[in-house]
Amino acid sequence: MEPQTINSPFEQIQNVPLLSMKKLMIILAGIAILTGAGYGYYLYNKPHQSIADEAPAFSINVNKIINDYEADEKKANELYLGKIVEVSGLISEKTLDSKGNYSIILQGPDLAGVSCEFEPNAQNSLTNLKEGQEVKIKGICTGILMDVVLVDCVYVNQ
Amino acid sequence: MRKLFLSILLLVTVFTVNGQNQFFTKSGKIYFNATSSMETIEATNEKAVSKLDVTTGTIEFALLMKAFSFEKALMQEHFNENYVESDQFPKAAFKGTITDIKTVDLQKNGTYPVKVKGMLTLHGETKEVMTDGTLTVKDGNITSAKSQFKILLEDYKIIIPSVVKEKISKDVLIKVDLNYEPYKSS
Repeated sequence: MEPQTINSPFEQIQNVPLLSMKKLMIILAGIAILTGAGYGYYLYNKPHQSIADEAPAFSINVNKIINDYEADEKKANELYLGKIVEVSGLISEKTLDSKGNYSIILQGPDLAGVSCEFEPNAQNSLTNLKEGQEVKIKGICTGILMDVVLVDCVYVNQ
Repeated sequence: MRKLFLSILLLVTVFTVNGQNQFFTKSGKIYFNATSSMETIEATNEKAVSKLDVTTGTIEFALLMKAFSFEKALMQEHFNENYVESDQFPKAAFKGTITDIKTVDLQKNGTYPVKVKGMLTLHGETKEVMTDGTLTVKDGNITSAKSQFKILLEDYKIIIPSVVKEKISKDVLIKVDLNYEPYKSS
């Protein structure tokens, strides 16, 4: 009498291919496509990143950035444009726009100053700031018109 | 002698009656929309600088391209890097004239329709723009100027790669909303 072979359930799984190679490839390709699409969708909807935790490329006084821009705008743009800049100075103007958002202008050496537009999450930190107060503000430099304009700003606690 | 006296008197009256004739803002709003049937593309810039002189009708505004804020961060990145090349051309500006400024009566509150003609510089290219707009008069001052017009991207040599051509409208609607204050010359 032949010894009875008892197939373990594992062997059964190994022996009977659940998936043909072709099917497996299709499924893998499907996963790859979905991951790619998901990542693409994530990038497409990527939220604006707060610069609150990012280190500034420059940490300077308001007079320095204004003087640099007034001396040579092109050179100053090469230095500061699109970069995170931390500027310290006195608040010369604090205004509230129609949507209830504060903007701040830092006093410069002459007529020009540094105009700061804040990110929405930073608004709460601005309520108690007063004109004449010395502050440090971090933002992305977009260039100079009348003032040097920083956008997506956050208030940096001293 | 009498003539001279009269002309001096006239000059003095002109200056005193006229009062405020220059208006200014640092927080003008410029909005644009390049939405196609496939995708919503819009952005706002709230830091435009503008000056309006009602004696000559001269109106100017300037803005920084990187101060345009999009809802989607990636779109903003592509706008600055690939389309308007903000590092190379950080500013856009309009210089023009309100051709029928004489129809605006500063002594009478109201919103006046006006015609504007001028040159728009964007992406290093300058093209003529003609459009209609409104000026709002309140208590002897111009308090706001509004207008909207369309521009063609190809006029300003803004190249859209063919892959995304269907996603971006070829003509872009621009809305201008300037909140003026009397200009204090110092």
